[in-house]
Amino acid sequence: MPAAGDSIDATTLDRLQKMVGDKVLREITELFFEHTPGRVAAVRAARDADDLPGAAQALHNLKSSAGMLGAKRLQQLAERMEQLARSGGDDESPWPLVEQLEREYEQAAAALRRVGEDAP
Amino acid sequence: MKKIAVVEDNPDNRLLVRALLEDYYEVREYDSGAAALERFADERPDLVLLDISLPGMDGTEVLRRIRAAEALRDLPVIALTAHAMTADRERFLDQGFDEYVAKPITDAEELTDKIARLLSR
Repeated sequence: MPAAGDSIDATTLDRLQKMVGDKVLREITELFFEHTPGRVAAVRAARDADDLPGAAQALHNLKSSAGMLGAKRLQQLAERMEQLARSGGDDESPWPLVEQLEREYEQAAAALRRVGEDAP
Repeated sequence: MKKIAVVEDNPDNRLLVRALLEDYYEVREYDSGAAALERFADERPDLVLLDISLPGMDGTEVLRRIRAAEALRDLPVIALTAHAMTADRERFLDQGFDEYVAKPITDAEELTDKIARLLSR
């Protein structure tokens, strides 16, 4: 642990592993895989319905889960989109960033899978 | 064993907090403010870790209701929040929280120290 590529900040992941151990780290990672696709889908659905508050809540949880596992790029993008959603989208809308969010999720997930394969 | 209530809608955050605390405390999890308030009177936690950005009733409103309830008003409550600004700490203390812990939690000792300090008050 860990060899994660640039989607994942190895220091954050390492610190989490030291705090909770391998078993809980695995469980937290499984929760990420279980819940994040639904949140990304919720953001897309919110875009289709132009539902900024709905997007903000999904992005908030996405940001939090990504941050815990060191998925920095996904975390930062979700945070920026959450801010845009909460500010009402007046100056700038979060919606053009949805595709990028989906890509960042795929990359973070792939990197976390690689870490999982390398783990004991 | 003292009882810690964790009110947090993100399951991974609940899992992390449980993993950090369950050797020392009895940890009870609640996924919404409404669920927590409904059970607190019976379950009598000794301290609450309260997420601010809960869907539906947010943490600030949950705190207001705790402080308004005679049986609960002295309960120590720690705000758990992703707003990572130091200036926020004062704001949360002004609102009536007893402490503040930033998410993601990266320092287990900071959390356990703050809890121990409040429980020994």
